[in-house]
Amino acid sequence: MHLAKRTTTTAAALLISAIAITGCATQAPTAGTSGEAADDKLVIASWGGDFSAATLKYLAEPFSEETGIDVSIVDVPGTQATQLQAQSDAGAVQWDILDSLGAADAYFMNQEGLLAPLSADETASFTETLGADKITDFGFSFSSLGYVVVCNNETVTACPATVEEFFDTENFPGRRSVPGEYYSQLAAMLQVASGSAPGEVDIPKLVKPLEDIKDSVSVWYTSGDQMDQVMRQGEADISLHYSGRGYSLLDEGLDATLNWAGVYDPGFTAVAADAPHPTAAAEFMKWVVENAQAQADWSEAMGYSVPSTEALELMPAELSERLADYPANFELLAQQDFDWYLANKDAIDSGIREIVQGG
Amino acid sequence: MPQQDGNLSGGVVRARREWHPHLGPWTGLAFALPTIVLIGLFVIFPLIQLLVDASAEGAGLDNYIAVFTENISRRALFTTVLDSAIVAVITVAIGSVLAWTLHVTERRWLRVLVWITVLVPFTMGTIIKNYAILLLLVANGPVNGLLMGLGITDAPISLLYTPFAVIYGISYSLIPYAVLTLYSVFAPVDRNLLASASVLGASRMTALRTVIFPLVRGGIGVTLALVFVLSLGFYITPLLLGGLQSPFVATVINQQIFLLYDFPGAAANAVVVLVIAVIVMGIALVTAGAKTVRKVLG
Repeated sequence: MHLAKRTTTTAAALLISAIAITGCATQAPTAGTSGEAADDKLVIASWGGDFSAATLKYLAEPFSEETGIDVSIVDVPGTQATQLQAQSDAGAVQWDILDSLGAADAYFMNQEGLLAPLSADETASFTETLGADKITDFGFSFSSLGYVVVCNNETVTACPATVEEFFDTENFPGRRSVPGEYYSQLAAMLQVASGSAPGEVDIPKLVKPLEDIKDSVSVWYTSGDQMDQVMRQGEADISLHYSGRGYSLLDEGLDATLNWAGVYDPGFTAVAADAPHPTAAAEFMKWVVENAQAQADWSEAMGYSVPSTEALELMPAELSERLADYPANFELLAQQDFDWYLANKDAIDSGIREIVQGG
Repeated sequence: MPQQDGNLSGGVVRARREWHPHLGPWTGLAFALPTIVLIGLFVIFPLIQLLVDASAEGAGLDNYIAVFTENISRRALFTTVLDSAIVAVITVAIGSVLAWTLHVTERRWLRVLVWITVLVPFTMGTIIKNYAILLLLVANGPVNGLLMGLGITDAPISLLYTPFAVIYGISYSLIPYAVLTLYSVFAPVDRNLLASASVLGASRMTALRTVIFPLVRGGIGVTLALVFVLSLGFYITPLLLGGLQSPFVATVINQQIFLLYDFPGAAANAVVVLVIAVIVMGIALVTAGAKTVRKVLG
C-alpha cells in the first residue's frame, strides 16, 4: 500500500517536474528572444527576509517606477550557486540578477561560467562611478563589510591598529579570537603580515605570523554568534570581528575599542549568464551603480556597506562612518586577492588548518 | 460417531502437523522480513557504502593510512579515544554511587532526588545542556566568579575551550545512561549480603570490595564500554565546549564533508571509529560474558 502510494506520488512528482521543466525550457528562449528588443520583466535572486525586503523596497520598486520594468524577487538564501548551476545545466536559467553574492560564491560561479561578464562599456562607466576597487569582471561590490579589530578596554591597554600589530603579541598582548573554519579573510591578512608579495605562494612563510601568535589565540570561532559571545563573556580580549557586529557590541555597552585594521570583505551583485531578461538586467545594474540615493537608503536599512562613496555622503555621518566603503575605513583595510586565494585554496587552507587543529 | 468421524477425517491433516511453540522457518522469515529489510537498507547498506566510499577511486587503504598519518586526523582520533576513556571512568564512578544509592537507600526523598537528578538531564535537549555548561564555565561566569570570590584565583582561569570542559560536558550527558544501566546491574544484588558480611566482621568497604564488587564487576565493565562507545561519537559538546583547537573525530568528519568535500577521507575516519567501538564492545562481550551484556543493554 505504502509502496504503491509512494510510487504514485513519485510518478506524479516526476510528471509535474517534467511539465515544469518543459514549460520553463520553452518559456526561457521566448523570453530571451523578446528580451533582445525590450524586457518588461526582471527576476532578482536574493537572501530572503529583511534582506529581500530592503532590496525590494529601496532598489527594485524605485527601479520599477522609473523604467516600468516589473521586478520580482526570489528568496534563495545561501543556495544561489547550486540552484543557478542546476538551472544552467537544465538549459533554463530563470534569474537575471544575483543580489549581494558572497565573494567566494561569486568567484566560484564566475569560474564556472554562471555569471555574465561586464561589457567593456559597463566596466568603463562603473569604474568611473564607483572606482576600480569596487568592480570585478562580472559585477560590482555590494553589501560589503570589514573584518576589524575589536579590543576589550578592561583587559587590553594597547589595541592593534594595523594588521601587522594584530599579529604582534609582544607589544600588543591579549588573548585573540580568530576565524576558525573559513580562511580567505585571514589569508589576506597573513599576506600583509608575512610580507608576501602579491601572488606569492610560499605557505610556510604565509602562515608564520599565525603560527607565532597561536598560543595567544584562545578561540577559533566558527560563527558570528560565537564571535560576539567570546567578547561578551571575556573568553578573548582582542577579536577579529565583522564590522557590523563589532559596532553592535559597542552599542550594547561593551567597553571596547574598534579599529579598522583588518580586511575588506565584499559581496557582489552580478548578472546571470544566459539570463532570461538580459536588457533589463543590464539596465538594473547601471541604475544601481548610478543611483547613490537608492544605495544609501538600502545601506541605511541593512547596515551593510555599499560601493558608492557618494551614497555614503548622503547618509547620516554616524552611520556611514561605520561602513567598510567609508574612504577612511576602506583605505585601512587589506584587500583580498580572490584569484590568488581560489587558485591556491587547498594549500592555503590546509596550512592554516594545521595551525588551528594540528596541536 | 459420524460427527467424530468427520472430525477425525478433518483432523487427519492436522494430526500430522504437531503444534510447536516455534514458527516454521518460512513463517518466521515472513514475520522477520520487514525488520530484515529495514536493517539491510538502513544499517547494512550504509555500512557497506561507507567501506566502498573509504576506498573509492582506487584509494585502497590510503585513506585509512591517512587517518593515522595526517596530523589533524591522528590528533583528533587520539583526543577522542583519550577523552572518551576518561569520560567512561568518571561517568561510571559517579554513576555507580548514584545507582547504588538508588538501590540501597531507605529514604524516599533521597531516592526521588537522585531519580530527578538523573532523569532531568536525560530529557533536556543537547543544545540546552551544552549551553548551560558553557554559561557556567565562561570567563565572567559563575564558576570563575566563585573561584575569585573565594580568593582561589585573582584573574579568571580558562575553563571553556579546554579538555576539562569537553570531559565535563560529555560526562554530564552520559551519567544518566550509566546510572540506568548500573541500576539494572545492582538491582538483583541482595542487600542482606552487606549485613551478613558485617556480622562476619567485614568493614563496610571490605564488604563492598570483596562481596558486592565481584557480583557486579561484569556489569560495570560493560557499562564502561557502553559509555566509552557513546562518547566516541559526540559532536556538539567537543565543538561547543572544546573549540576547534582539540577536535573530536566527528568534528573532523564534518569538516571533511562540508568544508573539504573529502568524502572518502570522512568515510575512512568513520570506519576507524566504528572499528574501535566494535572492538571495545567485543572485549566487553568476551570478558563479561554475553549474558551480562544482554542484561545491561536490556
